[in-house]
Amino acid sequence: MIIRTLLITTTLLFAGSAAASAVKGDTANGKKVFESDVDTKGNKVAVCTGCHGVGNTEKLPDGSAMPQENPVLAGQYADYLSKALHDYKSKKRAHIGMQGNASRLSDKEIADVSVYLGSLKSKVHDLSEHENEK
Amino acid sequence: MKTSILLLAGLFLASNAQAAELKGNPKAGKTLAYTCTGCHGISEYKNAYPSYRVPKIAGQHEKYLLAALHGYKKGERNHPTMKAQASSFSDQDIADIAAYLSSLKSKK
Repeated sequence: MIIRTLLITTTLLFAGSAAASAVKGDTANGKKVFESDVDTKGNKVAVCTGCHGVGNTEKLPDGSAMPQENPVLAGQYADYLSKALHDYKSKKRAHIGMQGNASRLSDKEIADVSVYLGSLKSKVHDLSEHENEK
Repeated sequence: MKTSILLLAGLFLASNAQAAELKGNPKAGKTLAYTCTGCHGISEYKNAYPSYRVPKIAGQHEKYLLAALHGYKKGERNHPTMKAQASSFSDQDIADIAAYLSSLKSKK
């Protein structure tokens, strides 16, 4: 009994980590979601790009620089972005604007937009690149 | 009465201004950020439960890094390890770390 439970738990753990580490999404649709400029009421608003910039440009749709308070999302790990969006959606992470925006995304749209952003190159990078610097 | 309100307002403004004006020292930040490398300095390093890769923080915007670290320190963000790390840092430490991380350029 114990062995069986252990086996099942182990299998579940492996399945869980495999599913989470590899977010599968549609990059082209993710780009569409990220660049969507119509809110649920049909108003013209740059929902994502109005704060986080277009693609990896760090520029808002009007060409101005994105606010430095906001994180650069381009180039970030897709599974971290997906986790963050799900945390906003379930209100585990606090931010009024992001909770609202994430709650309007389906799980598929979260996967798509995360994979799209993760596929871009940006100045955000892994700290491991600097491990031997003096 | 009026004086104490004025005094309070003055103190409030002073403390706010101080927080806003803390200038980060990237050199000091580099030393402090050694502890960050345990997780963030290993490429593709994964958080265990739930499993996801810990975020890339080098090159990120300084003001966002400040907000994230203060968010953990104040308990507004929930990651246990990050809460513990951030609450062990002074506001100056946080400013230094944010200045260091945001100054990094990718070589790739």
